[in-house]
Amino acid sequence: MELFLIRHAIAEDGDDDDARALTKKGGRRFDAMVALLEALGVRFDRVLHSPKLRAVQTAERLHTLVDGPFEVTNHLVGAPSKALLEACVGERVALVGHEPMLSALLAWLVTGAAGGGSFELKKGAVACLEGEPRPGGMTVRWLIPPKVARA
Amino acid sequence: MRVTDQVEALREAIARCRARLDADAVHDARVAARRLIAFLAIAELRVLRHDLRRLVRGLGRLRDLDVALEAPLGGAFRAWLAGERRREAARVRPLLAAGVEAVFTALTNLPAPSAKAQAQGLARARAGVGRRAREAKRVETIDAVHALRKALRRERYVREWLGLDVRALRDRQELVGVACDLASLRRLILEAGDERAAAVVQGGVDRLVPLLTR
Repeated sequence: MELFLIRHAIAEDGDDDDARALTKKGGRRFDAMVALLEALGVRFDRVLHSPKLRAVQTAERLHTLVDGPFEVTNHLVGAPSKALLEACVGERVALVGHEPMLSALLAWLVTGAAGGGSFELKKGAVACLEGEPRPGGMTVRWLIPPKVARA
Repeated sequence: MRVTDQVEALREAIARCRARLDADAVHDARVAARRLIAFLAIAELRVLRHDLRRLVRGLGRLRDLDVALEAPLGGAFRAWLAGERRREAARVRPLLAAGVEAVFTALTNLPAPSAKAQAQGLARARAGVGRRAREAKRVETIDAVHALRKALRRERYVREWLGLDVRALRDRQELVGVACDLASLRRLILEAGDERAAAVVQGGVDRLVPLLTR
């Protein structure tokens, strides 16, 4: 399977972390990433996203690339878990979430070890992994930082 | 109507479903979820619709059984319905698990749609009713009547969000609902193995459909 790890786009500051919306700039920049993914022929048959508003709004902006359902899950908040991996059912699944969780998840899936210090996912970045969604079961196919989409 | 109020209504109905799973709780959960789907439609959001629809559809058979149990039916069929309801209640319990909390959180923080989005949402809902009504008139089938009922309900909920009068729509929805509930009862009778009784009910459905679509 292909697993796409997508960090939410740039969001406003705020006291209520669940309610931080994307900024106009964040939305605009992420639209450029969506256009790039579209040009690359990327499609998702399922999108799992965190319930935090910035992740909900980032997931919504992917809609032109999505052939299946969007599903909200608390497994994308907090540390990577086996429950999250079990939810990654499909051939082309996108996960829209947060740091440091996504880097830790990437490291876990690629190396089998916890801790994501080796990877950096900027806001709005997308990483594509291939393989089985289990610790050490995936390889990184590519990682696109948002700057590349704006070039 | 505010989205936080409807989220609270859904949260409260789900809590009652978890505790008792009685007919009112099931009905209220489906209504609150459908109202929130209408909100998402106004806001033109694709996210969260699947999560809410899963809830509505997951509780659908339970609701059909509850509606059938409200009818003055007796004997073996009533006992069969009660047994089916117990089995269905056990089946839907996982749907009501902690996972729905994420749905509540996500919905609570959604911004209100703009005035323009509201007007466009109402226009889409109205157009949907027109389309379904024309289709029902053309084909005169219970499936088309069912689709019309859903479109009427969608427009009603959109109008509720916008604070508009819904009485005429509600009356029309309830009228159309009589045929749909009868069709649902027929399916259950057939499932229970009484083909003769199902055919009698089918006759009633067949007589109602043209009256509702003309």
